[in-house]
Formats: sequence, C-alpha cells, structure tokens
Amino acid sequence: MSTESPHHHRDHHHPVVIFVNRREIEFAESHATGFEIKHRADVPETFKLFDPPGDEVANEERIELHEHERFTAISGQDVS
Amino acid sequence: MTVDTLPPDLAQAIGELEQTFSGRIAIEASDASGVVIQLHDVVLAERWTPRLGSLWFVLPYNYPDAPVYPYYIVGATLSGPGVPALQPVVWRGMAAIQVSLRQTAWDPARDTVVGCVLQTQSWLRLT
Amino acid sequence: MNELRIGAVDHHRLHEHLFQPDRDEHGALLLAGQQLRSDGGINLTVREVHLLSSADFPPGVHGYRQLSAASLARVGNRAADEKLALVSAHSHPGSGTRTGLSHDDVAAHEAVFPHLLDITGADAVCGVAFGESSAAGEVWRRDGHRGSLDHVRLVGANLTFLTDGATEPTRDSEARFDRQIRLFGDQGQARLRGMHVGVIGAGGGGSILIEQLAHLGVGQISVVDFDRVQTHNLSRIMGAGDRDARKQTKKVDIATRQVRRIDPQIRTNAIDGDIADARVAAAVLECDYLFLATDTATARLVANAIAQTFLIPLIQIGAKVESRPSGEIDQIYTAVRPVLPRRGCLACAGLIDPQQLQRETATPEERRNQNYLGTPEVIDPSVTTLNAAAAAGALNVFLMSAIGQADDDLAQHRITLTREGTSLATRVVTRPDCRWCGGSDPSRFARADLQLLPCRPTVAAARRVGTIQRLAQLARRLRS
Repeated sequence: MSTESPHHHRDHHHPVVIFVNRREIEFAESHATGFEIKHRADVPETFKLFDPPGDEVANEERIELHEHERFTAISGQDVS
Repeated sequence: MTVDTLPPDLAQAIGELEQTFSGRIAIEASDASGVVIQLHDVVLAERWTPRLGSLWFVLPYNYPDAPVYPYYIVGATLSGPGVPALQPVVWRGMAAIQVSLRQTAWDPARDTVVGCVLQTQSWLRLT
Repeated sequence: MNELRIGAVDHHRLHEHLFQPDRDEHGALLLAGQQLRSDGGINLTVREVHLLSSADFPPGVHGYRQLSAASLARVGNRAADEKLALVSAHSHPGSGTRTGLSHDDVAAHEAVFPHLLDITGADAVCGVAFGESSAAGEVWRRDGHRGSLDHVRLVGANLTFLTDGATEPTRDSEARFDRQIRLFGDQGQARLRGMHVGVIGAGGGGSILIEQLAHLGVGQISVVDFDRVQTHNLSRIMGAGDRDARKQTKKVDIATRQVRRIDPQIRTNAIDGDIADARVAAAVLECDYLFLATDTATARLVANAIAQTFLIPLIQIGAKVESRPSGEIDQIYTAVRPVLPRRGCLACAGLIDPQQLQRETATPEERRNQNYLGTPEVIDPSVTTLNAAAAAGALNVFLMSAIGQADDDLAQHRITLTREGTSLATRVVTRPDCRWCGGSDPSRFARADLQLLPCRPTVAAARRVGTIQRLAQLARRLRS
C-alpha cells in the first residue's frame, strides 16, 4: 500500500489544463505566475490577466491553477 | 506654455533637476508638448567624438504621468558598430543621436526625471 | 448654490461615527477643496475626514456640545498648510429625513467662523448638521457673504442628495416620459431633468450615449470633441449622413443637431476642442456626471483626474478586438468602467499607459523618429454593435445611480466578452500612493483645483524661457 498521499502527488506533478481567451494551455504543474501564464498563452506581458472571479493576476503573482479554469487576457486599451 | 503658467509638477521637476545638476541645466524652449531641457557637459564613452556632449529632452506637460522619452545627444557623433538604442536623427532642426532607453515599467508615483537622467548619463558613459 | 460634496467611502465612515448606538451627538472636522461655481456659489469637496473623540467634542457653551479649541487649532492649521477649507460637522440623531441648524448651532458659527477663516486662509468655512438622511448647513465666505448649504452630495454607486427636508422634491410628468416615469416616478424624471451630463467624445460610442441621454430627458448635455465626420465614421455615428461626411461636419455639431431633434428643451453645449486642453477641461467641471468615450490615453488621464479631483462620477466605455500578429482574433470585448471617489480609478487599474501618453505628447517629427523600426500604424476595428453594447451598459449604470437604485456592485468595472456572452466584474485595488485617489499628502484627491489637472496649459506659444535662475526662483516660490 503506498504511503504517498494522492493529494500531495496531484499538487506537484499533475498537469493542469486552463483556458486563456478560449485557448487551451497545459501546465505541467498546478502553480504558475501571471507572467508564465501570459507567456504560455502567447499574450503580451503588458496585457491584463483576470482569473474567473475577476481579480487581476499580476505578472509576479504565483497562483494555483484549477482544471479548465477560464482566464481572460485583454490589453485594456479599448477605444470608442 | 510660458513660465508663468508652468504646471506645478513641471516646476518641481525643473527645480529638482537644477538641484541635482547644478549649473548644467538650461531651459531651451516650451511649447504644447512641454519644456525642452538641455543638460550640458555629459561625459560620453570612447566611441563618441568629442567625449563631452549635451543631453536634450522634453519634459512633457503631463509629466510625471507621461515619462521623459527619448533623449537626444547633440554636438557629438558616434563611431564603431551600431547600437540599437542609438539612432542618428534630425530633431527640432538639430542633428542629434536619439537615445532610446525606455523604462519598461514607469510609475508616476515613484519614478522621476532626475532618476532617469542619472541612469541615462551613466549608460552613455559606458556605451 | 453652495454644496458639500463627499465620496460614499468617506461618507460611510463619517456616518458610522456621527450615528452611534449611544444616540448621542458626535462631531467631525472635514477638510475640503474649494471649487468656485459660475453662479457665485462654492462646491466644497471633502478630502479628509477627522473624526472627533468625546474629548474633542465636549459639552458646550453655546449648545449641547462644542468643538474643542485643541481640535480646531490642530485641524485648522492643517487646513492652512494644505490650503483647504474647514467644515465642521455634527449629528442630530433622530432627525431622520428632516433637520436644520439650531439657534445654538448658528451662535457657535458666529463665535468661531471668523477666526477659522483667518486661521485657514480659505475662501470659505462651512458648518453642517446631519440627520440620518438629511443635512442642513451654512457657508461663510471670505468676502463676508453668508449663505445656506443647498445640499450635501454623496458620490457613490448612487448619486444622492441630502437636504434639510423642508422643500418638496420637484416632479416632472411630461407625457413624453410616461413609460419611463412608470419605472422611476416623476421625482426620478425631475432628477434627470435637473442633471448636467458631460460626454467626452462624440464618435461611435459617444454619439449613442448622447442620443440616449436625450431620450432619457437630462436637462443639459455638454459634448466635447475636436474631430469632424469622415466617410468611415458613417457606420457608427448616430445622426450622421453622407452630406455630413462630404461637408466634414464637426462631430459636436452632429450631436447638437441630434439632441435638438429629440428634445428641444435640452440645453446642449458643443465644446469643439480636446479635453487635454485646460480651457476645455474647465468647461465640464460643473457637470453632475461624465462619460468618457474616446481613444486616447491622454483623455483617460484627464477625465480620471477630473473625477477624482472634483468628485464627479465618471464612466469610461470602450470596445476592443484583440488580434494576434497572424490576424487571428484572440478576444472581442466591451468595457464599462465607473470611476468614483477612491474607487475604480483608471490609474490604479493600470489603464493609463505611460508609453502611450508619451507618444501622444510627441510632435509628428518625434513620432517618426521613434518609429525607426518602421512599425505601421495600427487602426483598431470599430463596430457600432460593440459601441452600443458598451454605451447601453454605461447608461444603465448612470440611470440606476441617478434614481438611487444602484447596488454597490454596479460600480465595478465590467468586461463583457462578446463571443462568449459572459461578463467579468473586475476589482480595482486602490493604491495608497495614487496621485489621483490616494490618501497620501501629494495626492490630488478632492483638491478641486484646475491647475492640478494634467492638462496642456492654455498658452501654447513656443518661446525661449531664459536662465536657470528664473526657473529656480519660480520652483522655490511654488514649493513654498
């Protein structure tokens, strides 16, 4: 019987799929910084990245990723 | 923009420049863009001829919300391999070298023109 | 008219202090910016709230309680140092929707206000008594004029006016508004009729805002734009036709014509200019509400500064098609961003790009020189349906605010993803060191001073300024 906790195993090595602007991105680990998410999604680092509740994820901020979470990245330079 | 209508932020910045670079600052002109400023006697690296030049820049009317960018070296020329941040241009009727050192994360609450000019001065001494 | 204006965040703190479970009177001293009005009155914009302890609001000589000499000296000196007006505030618990200054209140003002004007050096001093849902006060001016305080304006998710409750609210029951009066009543309609709304930008989004504000029946609309109609605008500007494109009619003239056609009773001020010019910014400072529908970082900077410096609620609208270099569309969204005192500030939200500001101040020659990589200028797609979605969202925020039906959450920035049909309410974290809404001393918050707006100064002629000595003298004078 394994003594390793399945929860511990999932935290560090289980790949996570998230969406950034509907684009599917896979991360090998369940944590990433805002910069890493933008880089993987090929989004400029100057863009604003929002998590599903609407909080902005700063470039240097490290967050936990959850399966199929949908992030939004926008420039904020909208026009009228 | 005349002296009498100088926005408080610009007046403060000019005062700080005068204090830091005592005797080397001259105000050359002011217009709708802002105030054109010259910093004399800037020491330049070996690739420049002569080794002493003038650093010009525009302090924009909405400084510090807008940063100072770019800078211009007037009165000196470059030799040697090209540097991407240094480009010959004609600016306000003068032959100049445009110094395009952009501060990537300008924060108007923290960053100042004095800090940027000091950084630019240091970079020019080495590049 | 004399007005005391306070942001909802500060008012909440003040109200909690003034109305405590002990049901006793409590006091506070407020420091306020001073905006002289065109009608000769004054707007006092609350910048600081100093809550007074019981020791600083003891039993009084002239009335039930009085301000302590120590607190008046302390806060009065700060008012003098910061060039702000002093407002004394106290509560009348149990007054509810109707209150007034007592004889003792007025006597206390007569004893103290002349000295406060001397200490502070301000244009005005004000005393106000708050009921739970009312307010009454008077304003003493340096020129000797004394007048009553017409109302206290609370600027939050709702735009609320506290009065002494003595006057019946006005009503407007014009037949043309019958269907909307069934929603918010003839008092709500009268509230709209009494409002002066400014719209900065009369293009695709702005023209929709202006048209709908006219249909709603606001009393006065100020429209700011420097541009003229061209052929490519015809798919988006309400009221513009082929002839306007041929004649290159000014956008502000299209707007005026449109409003007059919908409701000739509405007063329209067509301001042909750039909000970045101090003269133009000054023209919207008596608006009750502002909308921003433009394309530049400069306009965002100035409008946001006006909102935080003069405590005028603002809503910024926009739409964007984000494309990858390949041309593939990455995101389509519309934005509705309310800006309220100490809330939703566009600078705190990182929505005023310093690099774009710098590009916009550059001369054409400088822009060409900086574009040495030969990057082509990008023209953003602009579609009327996206503009309409943003405008509608903003207008409903405005309407709910004007009629007092807004939930606090309505004041959040909202991004609507067009392809998904979903909305995101994005939270703005207020920076304590923000130049516009922050609580630190250098902040311009509520200073109500046109000179502090980041505007292009009025006189724009180039001239040789002179030697360092003249400027050093000026800098020292301005610092002192």
